[in-house]
Amino acid sequence: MNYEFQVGEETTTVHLERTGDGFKIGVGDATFSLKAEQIHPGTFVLLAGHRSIMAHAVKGDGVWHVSVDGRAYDLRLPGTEDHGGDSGDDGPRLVDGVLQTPMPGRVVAVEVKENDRVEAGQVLIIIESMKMQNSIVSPVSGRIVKVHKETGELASFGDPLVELEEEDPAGDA
Amino acid sequence: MRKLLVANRGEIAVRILRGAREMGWGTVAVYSEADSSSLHVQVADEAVCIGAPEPAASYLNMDAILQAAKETGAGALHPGYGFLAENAQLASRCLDAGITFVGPSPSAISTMGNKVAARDIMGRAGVPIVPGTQGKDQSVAALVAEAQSIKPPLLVKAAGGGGGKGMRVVKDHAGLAAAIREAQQESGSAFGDSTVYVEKFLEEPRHIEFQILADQAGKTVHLFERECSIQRRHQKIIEETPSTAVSPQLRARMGEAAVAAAKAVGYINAGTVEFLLDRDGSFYFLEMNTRLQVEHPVTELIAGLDLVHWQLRIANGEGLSFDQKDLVQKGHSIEARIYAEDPAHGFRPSMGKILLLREPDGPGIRVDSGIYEGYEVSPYYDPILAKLIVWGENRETASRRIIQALDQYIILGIRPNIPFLRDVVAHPAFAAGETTTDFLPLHFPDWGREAKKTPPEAFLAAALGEALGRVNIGSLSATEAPNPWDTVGSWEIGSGL
Repeated sequence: MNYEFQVGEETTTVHLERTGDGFKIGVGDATFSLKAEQIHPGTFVLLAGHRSIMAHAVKGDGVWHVSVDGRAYDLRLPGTEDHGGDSGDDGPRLVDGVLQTPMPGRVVAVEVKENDRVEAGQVLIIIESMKMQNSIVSPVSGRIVKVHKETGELASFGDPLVELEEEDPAGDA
Repeated sequence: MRKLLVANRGEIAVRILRGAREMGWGTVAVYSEADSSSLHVQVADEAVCIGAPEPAASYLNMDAILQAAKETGAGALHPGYGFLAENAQLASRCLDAGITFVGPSPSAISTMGNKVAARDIMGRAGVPIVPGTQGKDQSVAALVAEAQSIKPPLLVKAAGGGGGKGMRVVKDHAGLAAAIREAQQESGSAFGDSTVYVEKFLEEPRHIEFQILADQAGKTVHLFERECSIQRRHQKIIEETPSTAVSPQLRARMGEAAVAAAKAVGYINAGTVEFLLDRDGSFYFLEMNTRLQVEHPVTELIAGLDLVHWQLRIANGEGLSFDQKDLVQKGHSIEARIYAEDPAHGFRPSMGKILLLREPDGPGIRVDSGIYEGYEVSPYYDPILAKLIVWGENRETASRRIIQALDQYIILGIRPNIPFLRDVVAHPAFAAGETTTDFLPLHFPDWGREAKKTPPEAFLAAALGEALGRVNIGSLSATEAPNPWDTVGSWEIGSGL
């Protein structure tokens, strides 16, 4: 049986095959043989030769949250949305000109209005989350087409914050 | 039987409620609409909803909290830390309503809450304060003359200041006049107030605080120091006791100063006197926290006392049953604060459901937690989830133990700061005891920015999860993709804390 997981942009195929008393597992080009037991939902004891590995894995929203030797990793199933787990991308997402809320919280300041020209890196909105003020900056230079949130409003993950029209990099405009 | 209302939430409310139950007290939790299934509600005998999720509507809502005390007949109130813990008005309203406030008097709270007044009182009580100018005459010549007696390096600081604006550090008195002129100009344009002070500048100071206990008869002792120098943006993340920088002689002097500071304001109950410790062994009063501290467990582990039990006894009018000379430090204790902050992404808040939780255990390991498997971390409150506290015979044992325990601490579903904490306590500079306030900027300026490779074992565990998950659930065919919430949800039932 093959399984596919995505980390960032990269997709890895994992081949899993039951053998007599364990599993044969191929990850990319490497193959491992091991015994594996799920001793509690989400908790696995892996025995590879004499090596004992404690691993935990739970799935939520199409993402496998995995812990191996005290380090955590997020592995997405193909076709699910990247919530910025391991992708290294920690800015707000701009999808079809719409800037999405990167973290849930309350909008405490809206620094721009419709038709404003903004520079990449300019603060657009401040969201308070867990008593911390988080500045949401523009990922591009351009013009504000629409502001979706008002001061005081709650914002959930992925909510549209503002619509941006990116400046033509060639400078024709 | 006495009944205690805890006006707080999270791990500290859980810890205090459990402590009160151990003393045989009745317990009342208060909770916001976002917290109805929180752990502190679960551990209390009674629970009262005090309002909407926003702190202003609930945990800062004195009317609702006092009403809850009245409705449940709670005769005592413990404020925890944060929220209303250092609000003199709550203490005085409790007094008026005939409710025992578990903490100091309203006047002690308000005196210590005013930095200028506190500094004056400490100076008069003989507690060392950072040498500095009064600054009544703002002419450059007068400030330079006033600063002559202060040993350099010197810090020029704007009175209205913040964010480093209007601040200058000078190595000697020769550069002072120019620095004062610059700072006055800068603060004038930044804050509309050009008033500046000159203070002694402490290079790489340590943050050392002393735990105080004082009973109603005025008997005051200290329970030694805690070193809290490792901070990220003024937020403590690792605390320990004893401090590697405090010798027995220095401990005795600082402890005496801490007791004098508490006595100067007629302090009752548990409190903490914070000092800055310079490299030359001079120490200066910073402030007094008039409440139970987040990091109180490290003191409990080395002193062998339960601070919450003693807070309740003192509030109940009991005297301290021991003297300063009876108190000894045994072994070493370290605490790491578990925050819902994703260290790989600039410590941004990490919210959501905790899908899996495994807390470390074993000899010398204590977890003070406010979470459980299935708990939903909300955006409304402080990101602290839990505290991991270890005890060891000595610092090296305690350090090894906390590394091991952090490896065992598994929280999945959100991204806590655990891997960062582990790297901090495993750093050679931590092992060497070089814990100063610039530890993190010095050794971890850019943690987590490098791309982290996912090991094959992680893919393996996820693949096994897909495969075994389906096998175990049974009712689903191999081709039908299970809804993750169906499977995870059913697993959580009865899985305990």
